[in-house]
Amino acid sequence: MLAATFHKRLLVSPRAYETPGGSLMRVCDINQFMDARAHVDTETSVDPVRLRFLTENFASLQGLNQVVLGVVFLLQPMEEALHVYCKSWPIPWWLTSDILVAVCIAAFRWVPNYYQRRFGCVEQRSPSNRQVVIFLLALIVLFVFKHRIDLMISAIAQRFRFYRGSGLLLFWIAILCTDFLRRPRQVDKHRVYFLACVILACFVVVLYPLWNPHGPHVQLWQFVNSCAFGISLVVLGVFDHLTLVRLLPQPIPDSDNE
Amino acid sequence: MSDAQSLPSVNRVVHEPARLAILTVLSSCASADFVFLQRVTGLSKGNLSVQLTNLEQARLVVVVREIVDKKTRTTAKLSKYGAAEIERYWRTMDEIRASATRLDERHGTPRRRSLPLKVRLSSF
Repeated sequence: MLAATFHKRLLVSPRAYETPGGSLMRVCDINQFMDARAHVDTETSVDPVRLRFLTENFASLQGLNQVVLGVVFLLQPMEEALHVYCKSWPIPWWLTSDILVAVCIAAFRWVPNYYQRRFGCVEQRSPSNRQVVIFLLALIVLFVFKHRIDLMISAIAQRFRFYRGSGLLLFWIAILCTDFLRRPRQVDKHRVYFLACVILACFVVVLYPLWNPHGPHVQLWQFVNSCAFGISLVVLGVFDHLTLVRLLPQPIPDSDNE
Repeated sequence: MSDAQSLPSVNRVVHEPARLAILTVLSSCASADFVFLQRVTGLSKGNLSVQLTNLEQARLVVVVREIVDKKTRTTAKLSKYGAAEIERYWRTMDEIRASATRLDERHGTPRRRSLPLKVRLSSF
């Protein structure tokens, strides 16, 4: 009885007092803390690195978006391959590609909804002024010197006997290399090895004409070269999605409705 | 004043694990919805709801409830006071860790340091 009265008096007390550390703390805050302790799972541990990583990289960890994009990039080479290798394919190849395009458009709408429904949504902080300025400067430089850059790439391709069609793949390798440095390694340690394997595989495809000068004329190599970007997008997308699922704790079933 | 007394105190509203997890998530983004907070912290709906109410009453977060497609959508974001408090909390924790290390050194607590190779070999 006495304890209940004491507790009630503390709850309604608007008094504030100074803690030994100098911070101001209201008495009712302490009571809220004590009340809430009954609902808190005491085994809950806070892993700030995991929490920050998941929140900051939530958009890039939604790997199914990349998978759909990868399938879109795979469509054209697959269409060509069907046309060349499977002449006895029962459905006309143009119809096959149309069906696949329709499936991809449906998937582009479905995947974000799936992530929002299952994992919720996060609004990221807007980029800082410095980042915006750097991005705009890079864009201006690219636009002004695009002719020179094109000539330079052609010269390098001729010098090292690169196939010009590998330009997209080389650009993709550069993006993957920056991703290598950007992601923190404490949380997803395996990504480094995985990324290294994908980069190496892309390099093997790009550099193949170096030890086989007739490489660019081999139809299979052309097919692999145009497929590599799409395949690596699909593979990395699946990996990112699995990373997201692995890092999230199992949801606790609760009969309460929000 | 002894070393133990000179340790800085922490805000107990922030210090509780479930609330600290929520604040850590919110400090890394502009705002997050209820489903994301639930999935990332692993709390039950009821628990998360109670903790959000506590944080809202302590003026650490701002909770917005809106109706989207006939369903309640709850979004939380860190208030200015909350952002300052969580930053102060991590700073305080760093100070406590530094003070504990200093205490260890002063009281001569043995530190885990690997022995030189010669000593290790001679001991066998």
